Amino acid sequence: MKMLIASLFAALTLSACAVTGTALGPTPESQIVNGANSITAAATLGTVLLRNDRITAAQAKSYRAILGTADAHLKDADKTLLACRAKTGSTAETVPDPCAAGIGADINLALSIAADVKKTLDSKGN
Amino acid sequence: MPLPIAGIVTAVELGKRAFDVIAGFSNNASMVKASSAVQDAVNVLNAVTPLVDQFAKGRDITPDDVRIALEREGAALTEFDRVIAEKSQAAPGT
Repeated sequence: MKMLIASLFAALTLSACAVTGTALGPTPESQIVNGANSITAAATLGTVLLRNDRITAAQAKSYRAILGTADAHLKDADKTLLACRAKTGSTAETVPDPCAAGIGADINLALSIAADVKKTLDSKGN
Repeated sequence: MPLPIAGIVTAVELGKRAFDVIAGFSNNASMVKASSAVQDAVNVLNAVTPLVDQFAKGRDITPDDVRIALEREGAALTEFDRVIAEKSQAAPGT
């Protein structure tokens, strides 16, 4: 009985969130910031490793090219988001967000690529 | 859009206190049980609140924050390029 009432309260809370349209997920803007920060971290690490001769210039060029791909996807996501915001008049606080779905693929690619490069560079630094 | 969690937690906490008072006066077993159930609900909501707050923080990112993050990213990539060029000149073919 106790758990039933506790569950009902929890369900009520989540329903309230759904009714008000609060999406339990990051905004497109915060996803782009995350993507930019991930690429920044990977590029910075690559720079440090190269300066300290932990990787060669050839290796660095390769990682830099891959980060360029991540950057291109991020820029596409940003461009798509800006166009959507202008078209819909929405902002990061708009719920439901009409622009969230449009940038998902590009953001996921950018994040995935940056994470792979960072992981590889992390292993070089050890 | 303000999230309703804090308000719901407050309302449930007040309900819990009301149950406690009534249970104390009546010594009624079912009232004591109900009070305990409400406490469980409060515990659940308190566990959920930080998760919701975490998602809510994402809504504070402004277009300027995005621009600054992208500029910082561009600067990091440019610096990477510069050091690559420097090292390539120092040791051509590597």
